[in-house]
Amino acid sequence: MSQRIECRHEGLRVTVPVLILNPSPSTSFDGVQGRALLDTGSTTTGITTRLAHQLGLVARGKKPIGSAQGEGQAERYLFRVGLHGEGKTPTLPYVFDDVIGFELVNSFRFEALIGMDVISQCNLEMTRNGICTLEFG
Amino acid sequence: MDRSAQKLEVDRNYDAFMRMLASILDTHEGEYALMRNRKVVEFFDSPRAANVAGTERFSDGVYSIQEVTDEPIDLGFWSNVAAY
Repeated sequence: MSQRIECRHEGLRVTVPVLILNPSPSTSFDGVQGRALLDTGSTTTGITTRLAHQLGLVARGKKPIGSAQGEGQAERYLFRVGLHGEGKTPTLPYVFDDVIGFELVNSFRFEALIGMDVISQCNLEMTRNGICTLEFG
Repeated sequence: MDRSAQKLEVDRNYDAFMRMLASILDTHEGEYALMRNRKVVEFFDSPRAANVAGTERFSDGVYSIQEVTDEPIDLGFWSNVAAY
């Protein structure tokens, strides 16, 4: 059954409440709550170093990364992403399959960045009056 | 788990992986390589499957997972910002 949540549309960006979880045990809903930026321009989902440490994650791989500062390598962590409604329409989190995401600097203003690896599994609707919805599952 | 051993394993395996990437890209693109001691143990369809296999096979938890792709991560909203 699909689940539909309302996102916060702050004019120049769309953010959602997020629950980041360890890859195992897969039945556990114990994780770290935060706010994530929906970024359709990013190929991959990422979490801050602080959040990775809170979850006790270890780097499982690396991948080349391109930025304005040039080419580099990003540490990659395995984790699960849970999305859920909040405010007037709270819901239990819907947890996506494990992603192998990258590490964001702690100065990033949100706890996570949801990239196209996750967004492409959703229907995303946004209207100019500030309403934004995400449907998945 | 020994975190420094894991970090070293990731670095060594990444180096070996980048050297072999051209030879495995055609046959395994989009898959996930479970690696140990600079060698691919097995390819999997998802990172989850690779991680489950890694946990089961290596009791010390020291292994790495590499996505078989030659595309770098593109960070969208901030990757094109010109820094001054």
